[in-house]
Amino acid sequence: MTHSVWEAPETGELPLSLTVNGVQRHLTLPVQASLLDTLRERLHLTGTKKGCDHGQCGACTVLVDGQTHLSCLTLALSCEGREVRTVESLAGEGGALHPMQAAFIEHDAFQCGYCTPGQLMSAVACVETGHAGSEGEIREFMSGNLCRCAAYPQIVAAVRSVAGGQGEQP
Amino acid sequence: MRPFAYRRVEDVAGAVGQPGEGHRFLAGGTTLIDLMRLDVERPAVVTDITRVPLAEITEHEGGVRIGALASMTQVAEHGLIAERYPALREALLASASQQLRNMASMGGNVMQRTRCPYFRDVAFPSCNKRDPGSGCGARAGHHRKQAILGTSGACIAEHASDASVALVAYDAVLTLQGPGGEREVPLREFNLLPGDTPQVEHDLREGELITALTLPAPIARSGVYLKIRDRQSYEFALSSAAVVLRVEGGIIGAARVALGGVGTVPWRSPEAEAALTGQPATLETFQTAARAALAGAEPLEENAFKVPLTERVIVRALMQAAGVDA
Amino acid sequence: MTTQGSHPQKYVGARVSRVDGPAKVRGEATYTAEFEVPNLAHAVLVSATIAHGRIRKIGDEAARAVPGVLDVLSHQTPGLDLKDVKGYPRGPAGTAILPFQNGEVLFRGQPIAVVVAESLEAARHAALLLDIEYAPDDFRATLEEGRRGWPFIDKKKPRQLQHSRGDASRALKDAATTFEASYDTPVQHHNPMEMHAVIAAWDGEDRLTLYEPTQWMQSAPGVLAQTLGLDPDHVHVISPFVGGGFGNKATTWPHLLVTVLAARVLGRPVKLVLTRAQMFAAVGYRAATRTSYRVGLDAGGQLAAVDLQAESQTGPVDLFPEQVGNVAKMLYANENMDLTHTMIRTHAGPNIMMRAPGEAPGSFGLEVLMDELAEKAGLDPLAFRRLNHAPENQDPESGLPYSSKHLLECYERGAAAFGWARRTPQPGSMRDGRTLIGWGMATAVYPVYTSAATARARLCGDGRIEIEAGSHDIGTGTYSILAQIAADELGVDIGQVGVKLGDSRLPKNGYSGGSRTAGSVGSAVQAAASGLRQELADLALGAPESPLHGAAPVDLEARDGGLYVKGSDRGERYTTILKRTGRDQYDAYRETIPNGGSEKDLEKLKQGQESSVEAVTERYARYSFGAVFAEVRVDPDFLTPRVSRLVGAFDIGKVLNAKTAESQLTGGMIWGVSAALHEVTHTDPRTGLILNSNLADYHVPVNADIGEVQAIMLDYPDYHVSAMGVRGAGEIGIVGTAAAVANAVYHATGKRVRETPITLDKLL
Repeated sequence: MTHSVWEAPETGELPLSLTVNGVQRHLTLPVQASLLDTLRERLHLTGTKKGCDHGQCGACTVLVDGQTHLSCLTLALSCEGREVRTVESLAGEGGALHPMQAAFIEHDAFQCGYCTPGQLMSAVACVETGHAGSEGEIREFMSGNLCRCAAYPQIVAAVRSVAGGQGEQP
Repeated sequence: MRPFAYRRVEDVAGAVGQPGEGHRFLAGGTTLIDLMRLDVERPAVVTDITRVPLAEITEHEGGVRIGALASMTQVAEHGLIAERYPALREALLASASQQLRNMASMGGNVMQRTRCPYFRDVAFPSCNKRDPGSGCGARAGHHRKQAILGTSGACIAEHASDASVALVAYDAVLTLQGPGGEREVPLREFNLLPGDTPQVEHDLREGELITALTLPAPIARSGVYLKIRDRQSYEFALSSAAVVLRVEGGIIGAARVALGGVGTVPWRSPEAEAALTGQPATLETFQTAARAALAGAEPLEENAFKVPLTERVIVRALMQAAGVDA
Repeated sequence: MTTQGSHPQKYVGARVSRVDGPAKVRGEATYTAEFEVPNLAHAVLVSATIAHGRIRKIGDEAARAVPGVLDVLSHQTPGLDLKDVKGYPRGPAGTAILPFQNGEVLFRGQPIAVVVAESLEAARHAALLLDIEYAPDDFRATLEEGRRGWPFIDKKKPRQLQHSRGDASRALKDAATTFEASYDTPVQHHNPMEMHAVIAAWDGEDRLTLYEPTQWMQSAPGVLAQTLGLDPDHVHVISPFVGGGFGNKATTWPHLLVTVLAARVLGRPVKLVLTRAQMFAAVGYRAATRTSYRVGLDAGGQLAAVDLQAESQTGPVDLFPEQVGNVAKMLYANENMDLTHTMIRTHAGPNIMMRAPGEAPGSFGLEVLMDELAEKAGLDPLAFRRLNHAPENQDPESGLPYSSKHLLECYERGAAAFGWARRTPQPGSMRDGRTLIGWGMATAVYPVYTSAATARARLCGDGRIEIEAGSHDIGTGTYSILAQIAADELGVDIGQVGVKLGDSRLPKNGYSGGSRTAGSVGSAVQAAASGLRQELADLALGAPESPLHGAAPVDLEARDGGLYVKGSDRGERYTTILKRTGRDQYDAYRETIPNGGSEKDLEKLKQGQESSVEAVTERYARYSFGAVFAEVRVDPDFLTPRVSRLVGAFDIGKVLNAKTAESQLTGGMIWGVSAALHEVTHTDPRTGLILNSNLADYHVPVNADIGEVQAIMLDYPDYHVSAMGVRGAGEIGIVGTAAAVANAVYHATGKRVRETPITLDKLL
């Protein structure tokens, strides 16, 4: 039987290659490093926030291979070869705001702003995966992102406005 | 978090055969990384199986076979599941959050650990599950969310999974691959009651990996999962029920009833099923079945409310499954 | 000085989007833990796992053996002496128990050691390896345990907590009907989304740069002056963005001192970020309270007597009174009142202000009581409140007139928007199919606190305006409202105004708490911006080359980035005026003292002390008011209360930014829902430790918990507060809402729950 196993060396920092916001990154890091700490402390991509470090708040939401994941519960080494997108990648050419970013500003969908990057990643996924069909559906999809300032009604309004005609009352 | 030896494998053969003690598989990571950061889990070796091709969902003899690494989202959104196992779909969608469902694997969900705070916080000196022989902090402490069924003097920790409740209702069977070969274990038997050894949670042998969950053809396609919790979303169950009913001419031909949020394991209730089978699909029958399901409950002061709550959850779920109006 | 010219308001009062919005949505707003500081070491704090006792020893050999570990500090480390912090609030609550001074553990989660390493991962690993031996002692960790004979029960009665007027005991005897009930609120934790963090970097032995998320720029310098003898002006605090505060970041906590000490010992910058669990330990909480009422009504249903025995928990050595009796003292007309407030010490760490301290839990009891009394009197809850309304000319507590009170209009507009008239009084009488519908309401009130304030307005060479104030935007919209004020005063586009906050080298200001920042700092910015305009006008009017030379000052208006004679093109741009002076920029610095305050307040502010003018001055009682209406939907079998609709109408003075003020109010109202249905910190009876020190088990609402929320703002300026007429919006939203929800739950279910949170197990 053939199989492939990569056993990391016992000590020291381990190699990791992944794509972050379209850029290939080659790093060495401690075995227990999370994707979140890797983004924030090693790549200085601090848009992604740490609010609990236990998968309970959603502030660290990023896209891994196109799906929303919690980067705090993601072992960095498990992202070998994967594609990670963070809030820093949302704005388009020349820095133009993504429609969801503009909608968050217009609808005042944040106050302190700390949960906002995670909310935005979920909100973009909510519309792109077709889960913004009603207010109820948006609320449920967005419930993995806590906002202590409690901008929830404004967040729903922002997502609805981007979803456009899809967003009818339940 | 403590460091560990990290192995990344590409196939099942590379995954199996690790020593049981001190070894953990990393799939979605939503339980393991959380508990490692809490210092509850301290594996010496972690085998990363996220690349092992075990995520397929396929038709299987009138039922379905779910690869153990299929994500909760993948299963919830699969046409076969929506068509044949609606209670599983509902249970999955009522679980955790979108992000966690995208990450968490079905095999990992089956292995989900309890949310009992005395287990999850190593500052508490008493937890027989974490530190056998140290006592049960919850019994004499705060236990509003802990189990009322299947408890023992040693442990009252609730089983937190929603999906497993639906899976036991659908008679799910696990395929386990070990160094010596493959075996199949019904999920109902895979989860072990705490008894005097709450630290032993599963019928999992050294070196084994869960590779698949197989659901036989359902007894009916009208399953319901009903979950009651303090928050509207992103919250574990205080009480839940997965029910499947086959009703012919107003008479219940077959029934499956499983409960969540109340058992130390995903709680299948043969008592309720017996009380339903052969009876008319009426409110009275459902109430009798609900009482039968809770007859063996051993609540404590703070979680006594779960008895009447769960009876009502069962009744409502059965009414919905049978299409009977309140 | 030139006479004031006119300056039409374009931005103030409008729905202006947050000026810091783009930075926040791009992920470019830099919060404390995100500053890149060279040669940074990572610290991990270690917390006590007993509630009371002594540390026998901390074994650190294994921790030190972890590769990358630089040091382990604790009370065993020599040379970490700190001098005591004297007096609240210069070093409030947070530094009542200084870290690492001895081996005593006085509360659960007390910081007892710190591990510093080259990487966060190494520090976290090593922190798990400390071998700590305790000699535990008896503890009382909760209000309930403290009440049962805790030797430190504190009957010391701070003056503001006791109140008596008329003859309550006699009036109770004479009352037509009497009623007694007690109301309980639990320990709650602020849980801002951003955890506390500090980066400390020393420059030599006596200068320090601190990055920290703070609601009070002057707190850390003041504390470090006392503990380490530093010159407060040598402590540079940088805090441009704060990821939520809610009171929790308005003081200095032990972990800041730990970080400063670690950076000194190591001789390099150190970063420390608390874990979420540590956010439940040594950074304050809202104390548990009980309010026990005996009330008499006269035959007409008017309040004849109120006797209130209040209790609130506090920490083991500090006293922060959760002033739960405040609202009952003044909200309704009543001539006979006794309030006795008892403080109860616990081993639960220092408590601290949390969004509407006192008023939020206090209004839960009072407003549920009012609902119960209305029922007893056979009156609609709103009609009962109108009957007992305290007239505009007489605050029941002080006897003074209110500065501006439109509570009756709040009742009217809130009730109309909600549809209150369609309510049927009988509990359980309103349904949607099988679902029980409950409608409840409550009055909201919040005192007006103001501070002396200072600000600088600067004209730059390129025509941009810079506003500087050492104040804070904790999500409240300070950046935006200050930009609006300056843009209007100077007649420039808001995009031309840059606001600098969150730096201790900027003009000094008080803490951001008590809904005071908009009014207080807004006034100083208005003064600085109008001062700048007037000084530039003086320069232009006095310059023979200026087209404005010789014009009448009263004819000038500020517009299009310059000064012009009204209705004409005669005038010039600010940049032209500046160029003529030969300077590359021009500053105006102003200090303001709020109405009812004095020079002393300004002096205190400049010394980094609390400068607070209270709500009741010599002439006026100054409060904001509101009325909150709640609809709950309750499943008749599962008794799960869900708030489907909230309407609040608020009399908060002048509204500076309708968009951000509305968000403040709706956010506050959702906090009220959270208090009513979700929030409680559970304490383990056997260890005194917190059981739910995480965001999965400490519940705050998620998006799906919140239905429709509407905030109506009356927008009557209160010129007895300040020239701007602003009273503040941050806190009043939470006041009353918890009771409105509780009253709605009663109306739906017929079950009266007198404690929060109201969870289904209390209704089944």
